[in-house]
Amino acid sequence: MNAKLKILHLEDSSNDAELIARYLKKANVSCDIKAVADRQSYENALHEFKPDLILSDHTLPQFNSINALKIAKSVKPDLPFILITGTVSEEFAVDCIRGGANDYILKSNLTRLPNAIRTALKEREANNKLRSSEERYKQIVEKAHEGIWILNLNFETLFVNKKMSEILGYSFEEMMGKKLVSFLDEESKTIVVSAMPGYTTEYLELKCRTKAGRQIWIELSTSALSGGHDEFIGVLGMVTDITDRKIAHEKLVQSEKQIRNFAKHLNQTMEEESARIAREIHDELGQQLAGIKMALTALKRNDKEDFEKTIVGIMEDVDVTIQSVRKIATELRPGILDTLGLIPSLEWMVGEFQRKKGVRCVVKTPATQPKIDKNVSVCYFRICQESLTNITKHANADKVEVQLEIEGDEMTLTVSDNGKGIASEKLENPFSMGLLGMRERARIIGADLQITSEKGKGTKVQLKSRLS
Amino acid sequence: MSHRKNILLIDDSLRILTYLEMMIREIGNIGDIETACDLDEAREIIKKDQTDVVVLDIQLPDGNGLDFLKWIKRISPVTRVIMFSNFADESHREAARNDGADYFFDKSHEFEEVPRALSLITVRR
Repeated sequence: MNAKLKILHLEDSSNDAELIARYLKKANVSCDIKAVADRQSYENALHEFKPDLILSDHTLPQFNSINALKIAKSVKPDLPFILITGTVSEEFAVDCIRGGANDYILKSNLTRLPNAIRTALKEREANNKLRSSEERYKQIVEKAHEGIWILNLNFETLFVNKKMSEILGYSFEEMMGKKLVSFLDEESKTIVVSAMPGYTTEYLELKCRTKAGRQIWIELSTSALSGGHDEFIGVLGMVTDITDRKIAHEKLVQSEKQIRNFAKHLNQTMEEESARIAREIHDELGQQLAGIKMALTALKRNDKEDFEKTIVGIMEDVDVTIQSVRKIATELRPGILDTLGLIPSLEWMVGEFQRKKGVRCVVKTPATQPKIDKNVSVCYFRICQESLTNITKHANADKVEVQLEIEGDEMTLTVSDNGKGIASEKLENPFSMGLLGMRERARIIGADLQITSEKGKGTKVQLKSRLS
Repeated sequence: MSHRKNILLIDDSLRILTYLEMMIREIGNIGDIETACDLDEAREIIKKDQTDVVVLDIQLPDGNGLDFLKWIKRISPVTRVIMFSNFADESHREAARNDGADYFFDKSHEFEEVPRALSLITVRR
């Protein structure tokens, strides 16, 4: 005992009180004694003096130790209470102990008192420790982020913690006694039944239904609980709600599928483009150059009459070849995009579109062109190009409007047509390659692409981004 | 008496430069004919010597000929610039005109116009 012990002594005889106080001092019990003689002062002292221990006589005017004990227990149940009295029957003493007193000491024999005090305090400390460790375990169980599900050997619910209750939406009472499998979906039932014989399982992913009817995924792992003699007495289940994880996994799988499809599509497109260019170069340039060579060979043979005519013919062939070169190069990548920039390029593109496809076009562009990042220009150019290609392929439109607006820092391209429109399933289909290509292009420069369409009411493609 | 005019030919194709030089040589009143394959080289030459006429392509390895045109006209407004390019459509012609070009010829179809234009220029004082 280190700090001074606060003792509340209920005793109406001041002589006896003094006697006991002196005895304790002699026994080296360092304490602070408050003596009270009646009920009122006893109750006041309990609340104000806040004793660590109570010593009580038995008989007091209009009060006795039984009452005092009852009052003490109601105020502070674990406060040690020692009865110090004169002669009292054995029966009475036992009743007192049963009622919660720690000990009783005879006034005629105080030798046991110091040790009785020490023992009573030690008991209290041990109880506190036990309670705090019980508290701790209770906290662990209740505050765990995982669900704890304790089952008996028939897999009927014995206990669920708060988290488990939350996961399934059923209260403890509703789950009590119910079998584990009754909460699972059919396929998960089979998994559990085949895994269970050993009582201990690895992580099982199971589908179940909450009280509200929502389908969720849980991860369950079980361990066998054993009694004192190594016999199995139950099953401890640890449960985590993995619904979010499962959903994210699904999304990931789908996303991978989409990437793979897109890569395949891009590859195919590149191959088709290469094939087309190869064919054009071969058919147009190849033939023209061959023709020119033949004409030159003829010249070498010194056919003087046709000399001038041959030369003129060759010049014409060369002109046509130059035309083809320009055409093929422009189809691949219009030089105008690099030399003059986005606005003239869009105007040129729309002009060509109108000329080649016979579709009435309107193009609206700003009067001045600010400095636009090259990648941004290319992106806008290609998306406009793709939109016009789509109009040719699918829309059956006879009117097209291309508008580029620059307001402050924001640039918006709008391509609208009066054609068939796109069905909403196609618009939302994540596997629609043409639209996916445009969306990916937009994403690269951090731009926002919106495609609005209604069947029969035309389509509007809008691309928006910041210039800085 | 008009002094001899110094010409600078700018093109990234050696063959084109050679042909141009050949075509120009016969014209009277030509002083020095310098050649440059890119804009860096061209810039050095212009800064160093008096250049009276420049023949300039649009697509060059280290820059856009139209921007260079603007630069020349800013630092030496009396220098005549003849644009000589394969990008000979109306948009490019108009852009060059706005930037101050004196002439614009299609490299593939109007190359004989270059010596003709030069003759006109060198006749003046």
